[in-house]
Amino acid sequence: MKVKERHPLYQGLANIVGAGHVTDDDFACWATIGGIGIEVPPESQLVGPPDIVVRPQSTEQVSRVMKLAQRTSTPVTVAGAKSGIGGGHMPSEGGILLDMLDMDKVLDIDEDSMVVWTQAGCTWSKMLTELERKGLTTGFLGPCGNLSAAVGGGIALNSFGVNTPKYGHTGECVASLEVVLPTGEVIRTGTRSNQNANFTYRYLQGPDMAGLFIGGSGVFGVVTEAAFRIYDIPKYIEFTGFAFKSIEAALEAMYRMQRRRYVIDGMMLVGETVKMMVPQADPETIALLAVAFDDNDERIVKIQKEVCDEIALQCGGQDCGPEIAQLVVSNKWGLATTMSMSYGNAMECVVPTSTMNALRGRVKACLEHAAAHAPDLARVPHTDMPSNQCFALVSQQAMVLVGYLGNFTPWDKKLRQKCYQIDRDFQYWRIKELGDCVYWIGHRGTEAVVASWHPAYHEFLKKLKRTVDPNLILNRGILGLT
Amino acid sequence: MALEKYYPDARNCMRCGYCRDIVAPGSMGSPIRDPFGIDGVCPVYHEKRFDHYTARGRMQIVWGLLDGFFDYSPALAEHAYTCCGCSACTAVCWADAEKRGEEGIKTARIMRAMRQDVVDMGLGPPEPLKARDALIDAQGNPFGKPKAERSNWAKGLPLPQKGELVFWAGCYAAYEYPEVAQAVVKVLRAAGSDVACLGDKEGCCGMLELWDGNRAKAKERAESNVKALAEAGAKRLVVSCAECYDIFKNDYAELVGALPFDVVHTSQLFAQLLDEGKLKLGKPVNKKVTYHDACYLSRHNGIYEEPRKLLSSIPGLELVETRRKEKYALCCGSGADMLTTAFPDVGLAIAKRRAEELKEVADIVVTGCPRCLRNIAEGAKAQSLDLTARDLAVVLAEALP
Repeated sequence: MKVKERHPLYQGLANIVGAGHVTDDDFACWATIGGIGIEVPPESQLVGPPDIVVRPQSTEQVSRVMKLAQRTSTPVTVAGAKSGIGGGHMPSEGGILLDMLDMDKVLDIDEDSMVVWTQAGCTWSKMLTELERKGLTTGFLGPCGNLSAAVGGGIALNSFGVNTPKYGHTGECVASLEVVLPTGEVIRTGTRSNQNANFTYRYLQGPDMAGLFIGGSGVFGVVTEAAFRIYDIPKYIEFTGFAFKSIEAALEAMYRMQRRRYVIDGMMLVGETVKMMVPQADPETIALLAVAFDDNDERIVKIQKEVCDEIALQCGGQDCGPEIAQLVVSNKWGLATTMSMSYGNAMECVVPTSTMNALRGRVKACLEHAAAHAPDLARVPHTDMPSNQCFALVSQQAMVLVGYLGNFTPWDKKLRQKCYQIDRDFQYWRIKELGDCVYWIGHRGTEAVVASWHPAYHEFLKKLKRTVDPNLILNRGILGLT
Repeated sequence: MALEKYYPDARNCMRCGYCRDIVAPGSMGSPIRDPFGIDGVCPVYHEKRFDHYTARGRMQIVWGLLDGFFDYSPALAEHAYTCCGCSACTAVCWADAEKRGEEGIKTARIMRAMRQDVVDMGLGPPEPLKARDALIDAQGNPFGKPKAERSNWAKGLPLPQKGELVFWAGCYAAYEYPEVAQAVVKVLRAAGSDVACLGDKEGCCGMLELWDGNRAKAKERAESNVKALAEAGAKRLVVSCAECYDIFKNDYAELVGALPFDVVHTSQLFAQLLDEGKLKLGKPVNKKVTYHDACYLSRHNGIYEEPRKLLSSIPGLELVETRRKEKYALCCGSGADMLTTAFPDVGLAIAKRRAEELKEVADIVVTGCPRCLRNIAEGAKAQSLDLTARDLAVVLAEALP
């Protein structure tokens, strides 16, 4: 067995981060790829393993790594928890993988500015656990991969998830970012761009540059630290659930509740999903809407709930009690995880609530088309649920519809290939042709999203990219900028 | 290749990352609330911090290897020995649970299969384990102590070498912790059980070699041990070592066919005797203790209640729990001696963390595994913690009227 040659940058990187924090073993590099999704080689030709993995411990080390990579024109890909569905944490051309998970500290809980400063590799759960000890919380509680997802990934994708209806996506909860630019300079956004400011607020001191790095899949810089707005943990939480005999009626109720902005979170189950998730529901139930409210004042929670109860009843909903609603809303993470085997096949679309039913028809048609071509994929794994059924996560002004291609047995190579191709075709069709929009992009969505962009918009982003990243080394292959 | 049959398991991994660090605050109802605390799940990942040390990284490596994306190398061969086999990852794994109605992906077993392939290819085990296995070969124990001294612990306890209930002391109790073996006999006799012991005919159970990847050697030991136990007339084998218990219970039948005796851990037999009213624990033991779940008793074999029930039955004894307990308890870092032998720095680092956690709640820790006993003591000693580790049987013997 021949002695392995070290990567040409191994020593240079080891000098920056320490030898124990860098590896170029082939199996170690391979272990970083994959995610909750199907953007995985060999089915995917878009991604592959890095050549070398580096675990920086500080912003200063990230800066030095970026400078070394710029000098040598080496591609760099930034990775957090590596569990996204777009595959943005995987390189398209080898190079360096910047594994941010060692930068996992909660740095400061600033109760003057009411923000928490955390390093980008910190998991949402770790951050929330530390906040919880002080009776505090962020508004948005992280994406559905919350248990292990890192905040940097949430920022890169501008994820939605728990409490999005009230607090918005990740980006809307960000107060400031610290970013290492692809050329190695370190910047802070918002008030923190003022070198003498000692408080954190997003929208002062000029343009909202945090927005450039939110949802950008990491192409414009490496987020190393983030400040999120924080609040007292609400003392009171109420759940309420309604059964509807038509999806349209449930959507109307949800739309009217969202206009009131009382709902902190919600889910809508439709069709077979109702039977699967809530077997005790009335058999005639076509849609089950479950929502939650919270506040520190019990009276406010009660009033919010009463108003929403009235709305639901006016729309023809039947009160099915708080228990079912709590089960459904509380299990948002659980449901997402249960389904995560087929996350790669999930047809997730964010659309205005009022148009969701039309989208549902499109998703259904697509899934049925896919199932006709690949009958093996016609059911959700390990359930009796037909794959063309779906559920919706309530978003802020919209709903996120999730449908599945099912029965994905990942050890079956032919099925994997079929599934991958169907998914690509579908994503392209719906984003480019139908005008659907997605929050996850990564490598999986790049082709379709770029094809959907107005040419001037794409050119603008390219100009930005060339300005901040002259050698085009950071997160290559994503958003069609390199 | 032994690994091949695990291809579907490796491909089943959903890459959710729960096996790396699952922490869930209770807000808005995650179904899992902070079972491991913020220190994460995999004790080895906690020390090494690269993805290839997590269960999901290891599964990725397994299918990458089997699909031919890379080949075995000395580095990968060594890496196969870094999984401590504690199965904390399996405790939080959703993958197989959803797909097959079983527990999560059994990474420990899969890594054992990889080590078997590594040994078959002549790439392993690492030198320290080879040296340790040579001692087992020569003397029938991993300490290299004379075979003839194996039954020294039983001097003064005239034990028959034949009987229906046979006590298997194991290498650790026989050579390193004779008081454990003596206490087992004392407790059994106090409960009216006639117990026999193989004496110097007892050898190594083969667990260490099996988990090193040397299946052929483990099979040899299994054949020899089963033969000796059958000749002794054993109908029931009682084992005080968690690792010995695991191989007898879970691997011997596969290695040599159906066993002519059943296998119980001391905690199970003691609990049965307690339930039957035969074991009386009447003497007060006025101490506050905590219980450490040995991986090979708890996650590997589901023994959680019996030791706690026994300890709770002792008058005056206050049993307190650590933050991470039962299914979610942190490994002691021994990894069936694999970590402590091949990667002692990692083993000690984990032991120190576990000792700290235990010391948070009590000055005395009770466990049902001699390796845990030793490693926790080492972890405490390394940071000058006043923490005493004791075997369950020893504490029970103290409570005998």
